[in-house]
Amino acid sequence: MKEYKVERTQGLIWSFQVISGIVLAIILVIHFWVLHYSSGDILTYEIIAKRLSQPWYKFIDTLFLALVLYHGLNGARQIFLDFNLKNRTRQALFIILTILAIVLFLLGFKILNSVIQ
Amino acid sequence: MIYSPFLRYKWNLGMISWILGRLSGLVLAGYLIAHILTTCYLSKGPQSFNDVMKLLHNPYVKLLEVCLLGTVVYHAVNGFKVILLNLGAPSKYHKVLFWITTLFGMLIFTAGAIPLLLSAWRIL
Repeated sequence: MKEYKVERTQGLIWSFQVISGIVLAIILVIHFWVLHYSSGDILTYEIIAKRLSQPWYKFIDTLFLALVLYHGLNGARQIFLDFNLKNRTRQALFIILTILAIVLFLLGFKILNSVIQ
Repeated sequence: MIYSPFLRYKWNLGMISWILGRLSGLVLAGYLIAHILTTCYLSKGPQSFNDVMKLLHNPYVKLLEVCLLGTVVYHAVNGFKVILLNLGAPSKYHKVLFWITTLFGMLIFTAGAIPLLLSAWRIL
């Protein structure tokens, strides 16, 4: 029963990796379009502040940040799972990856909310 | 059977596609961290952000952006192939799936790289 629960957790983690990949592909196309097509490829503080003052755009950006951090750092975790690491090394590495994810998300969230017009 | 650490395997397309998928993922993770640390400048006020953007407004950075687009497109296309194989596509078609998704990816890459290269030309 315990083995079944461990496999289910890992399966859920991987399923969310796949789902976040699909959602990220869609949001990335929107991000690329908005950045490079719709404003002529100029990037100044004023343009970004105007975009971020719309609450739905800020929501999509926050979602983008959270999903890409999950997808990327889970990918790194999967790569490290394939190396022949000792148990302590593996645990420490995964804790470092989680802390990195949380720190980067808080940093990005603070930046997104600190752009005022 | 010799379990030597120096065992050599014959290269095949599935191995190359998997290795390139992992490499592209690592490159994108590194880019992500650099991108978040660059966007930190947004919180330091308009002047410093516009200064940083002027620094990055040269054609070499545009070429690097084209390379980034290529990496993202390859990673997405490889992921799509993995999803198709996991959803039940027969694994004897893995080469066909690779070439079909690569063709699709090249179309998207061309569509996305043209405006970047045009703006690089305009900056020159």
